[in-house]
Amino acid sequence: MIDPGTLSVLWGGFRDVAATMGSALRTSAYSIAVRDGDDFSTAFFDPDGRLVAQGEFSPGHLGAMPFVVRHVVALHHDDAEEGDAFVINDPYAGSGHLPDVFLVSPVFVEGTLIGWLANGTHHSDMGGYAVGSQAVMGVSELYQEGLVLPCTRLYVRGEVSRDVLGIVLANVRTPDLVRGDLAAQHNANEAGAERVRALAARHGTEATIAAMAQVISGTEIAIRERIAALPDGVYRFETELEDWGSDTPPIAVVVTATIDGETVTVDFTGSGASVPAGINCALNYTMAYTLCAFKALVAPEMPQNEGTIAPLNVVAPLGSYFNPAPPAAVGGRQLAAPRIFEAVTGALSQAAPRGGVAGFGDMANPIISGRREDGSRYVFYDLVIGSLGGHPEAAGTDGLVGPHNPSNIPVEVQEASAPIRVERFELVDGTGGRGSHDGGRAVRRELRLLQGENVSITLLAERARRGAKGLFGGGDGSPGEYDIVRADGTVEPLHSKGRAVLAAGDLVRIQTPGAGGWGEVAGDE
Amino acid sequence: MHRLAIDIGGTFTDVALLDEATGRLTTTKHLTTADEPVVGVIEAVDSVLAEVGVGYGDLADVVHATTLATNTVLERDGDRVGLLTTEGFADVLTLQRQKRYELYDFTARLPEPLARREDTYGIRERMGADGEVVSPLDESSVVAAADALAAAGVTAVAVCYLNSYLAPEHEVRTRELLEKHGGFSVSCSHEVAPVIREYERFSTCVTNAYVQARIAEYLASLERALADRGFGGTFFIMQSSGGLVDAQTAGRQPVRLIESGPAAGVIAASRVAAEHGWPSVLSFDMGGTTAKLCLVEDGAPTLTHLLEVDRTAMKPRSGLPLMMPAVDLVEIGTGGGSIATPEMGAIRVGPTSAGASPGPASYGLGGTRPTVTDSSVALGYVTHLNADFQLKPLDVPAAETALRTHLGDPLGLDVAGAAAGLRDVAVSDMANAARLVTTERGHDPRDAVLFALGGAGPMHAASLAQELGVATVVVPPQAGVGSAVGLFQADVVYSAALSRSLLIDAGNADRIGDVLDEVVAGHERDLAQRFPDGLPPFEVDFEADLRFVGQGHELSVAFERGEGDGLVDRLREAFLVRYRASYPLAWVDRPLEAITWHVHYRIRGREVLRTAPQEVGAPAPRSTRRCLFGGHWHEATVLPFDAPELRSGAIGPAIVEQNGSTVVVPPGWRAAVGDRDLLVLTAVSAPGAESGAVR
Repeated sequence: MIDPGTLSVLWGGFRDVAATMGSALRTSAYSIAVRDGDDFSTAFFDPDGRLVAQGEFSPGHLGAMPFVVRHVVALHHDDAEEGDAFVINDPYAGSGHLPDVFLVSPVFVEGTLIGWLANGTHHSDMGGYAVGSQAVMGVSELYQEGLVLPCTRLYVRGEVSRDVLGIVLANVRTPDLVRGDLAAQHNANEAGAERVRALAARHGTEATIAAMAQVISGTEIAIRERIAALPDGVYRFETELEDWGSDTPPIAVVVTATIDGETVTVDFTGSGASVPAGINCALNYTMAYTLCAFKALVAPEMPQNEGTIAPLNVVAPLGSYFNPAPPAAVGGRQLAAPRIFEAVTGALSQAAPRGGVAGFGDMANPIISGRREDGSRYVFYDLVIGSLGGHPEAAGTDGLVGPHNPSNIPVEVQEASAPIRVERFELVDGTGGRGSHDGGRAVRRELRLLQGENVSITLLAERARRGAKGLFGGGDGSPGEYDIVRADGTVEPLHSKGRAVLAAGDLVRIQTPGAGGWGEVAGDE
Repeated sequence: MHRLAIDIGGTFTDVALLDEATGRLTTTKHLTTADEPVVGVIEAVDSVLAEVGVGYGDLADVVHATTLATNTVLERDGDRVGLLTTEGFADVLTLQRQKRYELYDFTARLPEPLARREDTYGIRERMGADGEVVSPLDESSVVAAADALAAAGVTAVAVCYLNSYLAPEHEVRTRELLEKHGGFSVSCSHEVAPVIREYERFSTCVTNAYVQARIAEYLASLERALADRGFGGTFFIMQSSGGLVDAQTAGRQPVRLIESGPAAGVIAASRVAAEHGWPSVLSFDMGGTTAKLCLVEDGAPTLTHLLEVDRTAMKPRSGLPLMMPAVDLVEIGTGGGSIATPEMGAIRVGPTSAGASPGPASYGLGGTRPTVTDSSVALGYVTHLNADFQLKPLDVPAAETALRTHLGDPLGLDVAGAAAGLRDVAVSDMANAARLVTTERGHDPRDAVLFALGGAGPMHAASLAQELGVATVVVPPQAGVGSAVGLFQADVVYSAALSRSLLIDAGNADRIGDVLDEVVAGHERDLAQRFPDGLPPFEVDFEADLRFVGQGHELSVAFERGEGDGLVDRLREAFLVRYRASYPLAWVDRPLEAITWHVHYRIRGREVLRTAPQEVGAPAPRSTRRCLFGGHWHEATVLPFDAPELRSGAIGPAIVEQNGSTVVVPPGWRAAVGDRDLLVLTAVSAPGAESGAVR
């Protein structure tokens, strides 16, 4: 056993490793999604690939990363060398879609493997059918979605593999951004490795590794105590994704959560089957947001590491929407994250004292791509972030992001980088669900295309048919609204998962759904 | 002549009087009178002047640092602010950047904006990203807003339009209309923070409007109080950047006073660094609730252009962002009063603080939870509390009981183990913070000298140095009032900035020259109003915020304008040196662009503060104290600061007691008072070999 003082010092050091990686990645990244939108994550793992500490970034990457690293370690535990870095974006081994590229590096101290560093970054493009590689409609197989990288050495003993890099850059629409972001990912792991080596030099390799085990076991004991304090039982919650393309039926989301002593099982059996569109939710991603919801409800302030994960079992039948079989297409799977979160908290909040959070005003993610007057290509990636649902303590915070945790991208930064003007960015009154605690309001953002023709837009959004659900008697929020006002004034609806072609003067109007209310309004019957 | 420095903090007002002829420094510490700060200041100044026997008329200048701007924001007692902004963007302050600072907390709130939504008016106008007018300014809507604000009794107005950092014409015209209307104090975003990113710029401008009346009133009343008593010199204020400006200028951009107090301490470290030629100094200021660290490079503090005020539990991105030059401090919730709790078999220190009331358990004022100070008491390092100019004995049993009950018993440690563990964690947290301002900026902390200030700084400095691998610690003779002393040494600096994206390549040399001319001309126009009789002999230096084309974060690089073509190459070279320091393996074969250009007009402060050397005291009878270091109890020598032993050098374990602070010299360290009465601690055994933990 390490004494509590040294354990605390090393634990702080492990968190610092992940934080250091995060700031290195953010400050040296190229794509706007990473540098201004924070769409990346970092984490530190023990020699066996068990999660020790993570940076506070995106739950989708973070929750999937333990499985990414487990996969890399299973393949390369014995042949990884100092300076190697493995790249991987295979959705079924990664975090569920191709743009999320992970870089995983072993760390050695005097020849001894002392841990692994991983970061996951949302890249601007990975090739395939649509710019941004996350179209829902028009794709039915992974092969249409872009370049698949199984676990591959991108850096070999410190040197970048020009062969691998060449293949990647030849397959993407934004080679400069992708190259820059991959370099930033490498910077992050290098910065993290230096911190890990310094910790080992200061406290000894053996003590450092022993502290990792203690961090994990201490957390596991604490989280099992939390679960044990919850009433045993079987809790069920149902919701849905409203569609997966024009004129398609909803995808059922059915969660059965079982609290049994010190463990929680979350079972998605009964949910819909996988669908022939780019929206299926690979098991790693299902697990990532199940973990996020479980943690938010049961132990929001506790650290997340392998000990947090251990008491949680996630079940989803192979071939179902939440565990599709390859090569099901997956590009727009982030639409599932708020549904997973709502269903899991909806079920568990029947047992937990905090009482959950009502439905989210889902984020809309438009990607517009065209060419500037000088012929250069731009990819305009925007995040129109909605609001939080009401919860037992207060109304949902206006404009605060749902389970994914990116930030918005400043209007002035967007306008400086693409021929698009943001004409409106505001809250819309009367859109949040009513309740004893109201849901947050809808957010409206309007984008005017200033030049070009045949400019493509791909939208990734939800809840155009029905607004966010209220919880415990709270009302639903208003549905999302997505349309295009053509230069001649005609208004065309834009499907929430649709694609369209724009020309100069067209205005894209995006209004997120209003968030759900929590609890019955006093006086309502 | 004499010079006077006044540093108002949350708890204490420090005043220092310097006799320029003899170098004699006289200092005092008074409790801050928060309700009427001027009253406390004048009392403290009176006492110092009386002690030395000089009058207000003998003062050449008064230099002042204040936390009033920060407190006005923290306590939300500034002015009601009217906000005029581009139509369609009235919720920018509410929406902020929309990110949760606590990943798993879905009940989190964003900080309350300083302008209310109902006092926000959307104005029809629009500038494009190329600086061209998209929609002309609808002057009637400005007038209508002005009427509505006037009817509501709102006098502070912030004007914040999109893309005004590039094209300020509409903000300028709106200011004219508001001034014509009369009765408003106007802040324009392009003047307060002419930089890209609307939320951060608007937030800065609104904060400026929010604190303006409070600050103006305060500065005027202090200036009046000084003048009434015969003061006829210049009244200077410390800004967040560590530069002084005259009070009138400070009153126009009061948001720049947000880090006024902390900046002064960093300036003290900078001057010692410059004087001794130390290339890298880590300024370490630890007080009752927080510790602040800042890297001083080649005698100048590193600056940032973005900081936050009013954060929740010191968490990044939980506060209101402000864009302005400021000393690049990292502040964490580790201070003498920080409370330790057991957590999953480990120890957590802070950010909850026992503050001054109930205070640490050892203060005997009702505190029962173990704090950082209680660990120092239980480890034997400190026996008395120095407050209100009296030494009060600390309650050792109370410290031990708190440590045993709330930390030792739950974790299976004895009192000594709990105390040592607590200290290790506090030091380690501070070391991680230190890495944010060193390692992450490409500096090796091991090359630095640690400069310790504040009530708790000297007590923890050697341990922090050990954790960082730093071999030298310096404690100034007036560590307790170090910030006030720093004020005497600061430069007077008038700065301006302009955002203009320009590719740094030879083809753009002329355009770069034009932008520099533009920023200089605008700045000199402003300065001419302030110095109608002609500008004083300023030194002029430039700074550019540079990045590779496509990146989102800039590095600031200082440069000299020089003659001829070399500028483009010099900028690129200087940037690459900094970038490679942070990212040694980075991909740098990329075009470079500048985003924002800064110009600084400077009058140098004193490199060397001539203070009269301290007299060596008489040899005192040997006194020792039982102290725990590295898991073993030692008899540590207790020495007053003026002890003759410290002239030749004393070997740790030792405790050096100075008026207002206690310096801990662990085994393996040597302490000696040297040049300018600095107490220098040097690691004599390999740093890092010693661990404080009990095994």
